[in-house]
Amino acid sequence: MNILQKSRAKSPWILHYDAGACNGCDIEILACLTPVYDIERFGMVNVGNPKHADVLLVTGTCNKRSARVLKNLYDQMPDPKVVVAVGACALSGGIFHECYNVLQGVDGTVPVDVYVPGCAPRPEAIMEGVMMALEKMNKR
Amino acid sequence: MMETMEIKPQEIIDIPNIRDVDVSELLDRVKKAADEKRRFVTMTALDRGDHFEVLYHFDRDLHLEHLRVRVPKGRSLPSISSVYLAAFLVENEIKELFGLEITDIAIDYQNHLYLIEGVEPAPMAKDKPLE
Amino acid sequence: MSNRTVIPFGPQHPVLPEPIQLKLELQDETVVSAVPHIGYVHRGIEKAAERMEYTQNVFLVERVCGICSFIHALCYCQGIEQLQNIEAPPRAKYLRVIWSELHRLHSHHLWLGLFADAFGYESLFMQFWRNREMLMDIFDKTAGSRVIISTCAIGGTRRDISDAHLQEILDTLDEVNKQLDKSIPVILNDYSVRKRTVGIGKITREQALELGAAGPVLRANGVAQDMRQLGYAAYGELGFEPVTENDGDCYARAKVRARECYQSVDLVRKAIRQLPDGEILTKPKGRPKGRVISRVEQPRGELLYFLAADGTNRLDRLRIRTPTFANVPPLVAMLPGCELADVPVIVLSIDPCISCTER
Repeated sequence: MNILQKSRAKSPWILHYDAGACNGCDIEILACLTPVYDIERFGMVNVGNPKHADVLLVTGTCNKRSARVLKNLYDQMPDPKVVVAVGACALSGGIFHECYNVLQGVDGTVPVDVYVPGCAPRPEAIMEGVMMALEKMNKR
Repeated sequence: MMETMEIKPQEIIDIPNIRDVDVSELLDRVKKAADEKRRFVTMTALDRGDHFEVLYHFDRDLHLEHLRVRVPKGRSLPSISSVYLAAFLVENEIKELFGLEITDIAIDYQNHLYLIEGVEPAPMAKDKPLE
Repeated sequence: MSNRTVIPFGPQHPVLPEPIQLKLELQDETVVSAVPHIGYVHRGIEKAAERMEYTQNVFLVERVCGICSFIHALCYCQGIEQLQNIEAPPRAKYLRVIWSELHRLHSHHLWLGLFADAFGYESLFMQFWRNREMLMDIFDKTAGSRVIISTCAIGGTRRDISDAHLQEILDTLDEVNKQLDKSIPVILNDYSVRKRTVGIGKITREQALELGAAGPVLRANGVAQDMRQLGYAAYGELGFEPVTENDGDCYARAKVRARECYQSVDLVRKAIRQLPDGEILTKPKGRPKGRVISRVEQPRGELLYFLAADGTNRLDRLRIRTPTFANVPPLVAMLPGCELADVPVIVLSIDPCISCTER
């Protein structure tokens, strides 16, 4: 591992995009940031700018309109980048998989590295997912 | 237990305080509701096969009152957003999801409130598949 | 001479956890008009509700919104109960109040935190969210899940709360109340918060009524309307009085929510004190037939469900009108005349829940 990889793994910046979730996963991602779970101890920071981000956290069933935004955000992120799909909806569409405006899962739109199941996944699971994604990123 | 249960003729429950109005007198009725300071709650559209049933829900001191119009398919409905601006979102929604033409909406999203171009229009209509 | 610019606010914006776009037309720094563009989280739940069986829909409507999922399920179940002519047992009604008010409390904590964050008060944001975790622990203990608790069922509740857990809830609420006493004055008495909220995003009482505002946005204009006054579940027996403020600006809306936090704490305490013993579930009989409107109060305001059933095991129509859907037109009226830098605060002041809005 060279110095660049090492430092990247110590301070991954996270971009969160809600592609059509019920909010449940989103508030759990926010809960990860707060004192009880505190992902900042792993150096993770939530950023609003895709060009600053290493990890893309996607929640929710992708719909036809948000797919375009999601693709846009993904394309703007610099390499190496990893995508973590959070929640049942992001994995397969979840309970909404047969709805008319829903694309089943986000992996049809952006390549997903780690899938975090649950409705909604617990903050611990989301953190574990991000850690797994970082391992993957370092092998790139 | 279930088999022996006597089946009583069930009284059909319906919403109270509904007034049926004609499309032509709708705007006058809505203006009257606005003059009486009723709060516009929302609209509900139902696809009844050959016509649309549209309900306008108003609230006054926690009591709901409703206006109902029936619009044959292929006909259009005037917008009430000139009286209640709040109706523009729900009117756009009904127009887009049911395919009921509503004319003169204050902010008209041209059938792109929810759906993007290239998507099958009017997904809520009863003749559209459920999936 | 016109130097008007159109600035898109969103759909991905740091202040918004959810995507909504506002097209802001600006004259220099002042907003002239705002047009909301939504559709980023539209799923089509109303159609899906016609496909699934009416008993399955409980789980579907819980996922309209992850913040107030219990209250969505409650509204739906109360509608079906009316159609089937059954009533939840008294204990279930009180349990429903307890979970509803805990949901309101966690939602208001969440909002107060985000509101603090909008001013750059990051440690206050952390403070509110840390307190909120105490409430999440209650959900975890009583329902086995933090977010979507799935405890409401047609005819009552799916779970009971044990006496030990009730005591734990009371102890937690004491702590929550203590923490609120520390944090709320910071947000309500602070000089810079007042400077950024008093008189900002103001609408009049007439406008609020005309534009169909709901919940704290309406009550911040002195209109004492809260669906809990209808006395659904056990609210009729708890002596409920709505919280109102008169100024109609961002500060008044924040104050309404802050005071509602204390009110929710009191309601839960009262409900636990009066909680009767007995069954928690009435067996539903027959299939729903007819039409009914069910209304409950969400943290964000009035939630309305219109149910039409024709006696089969599927619903003919389920219409969901969520409070944020009603609060978007008032938001459009609040924005003109404000400065661009105030837009995030004003947008937050209606407590937008986009997944509710678009369903």
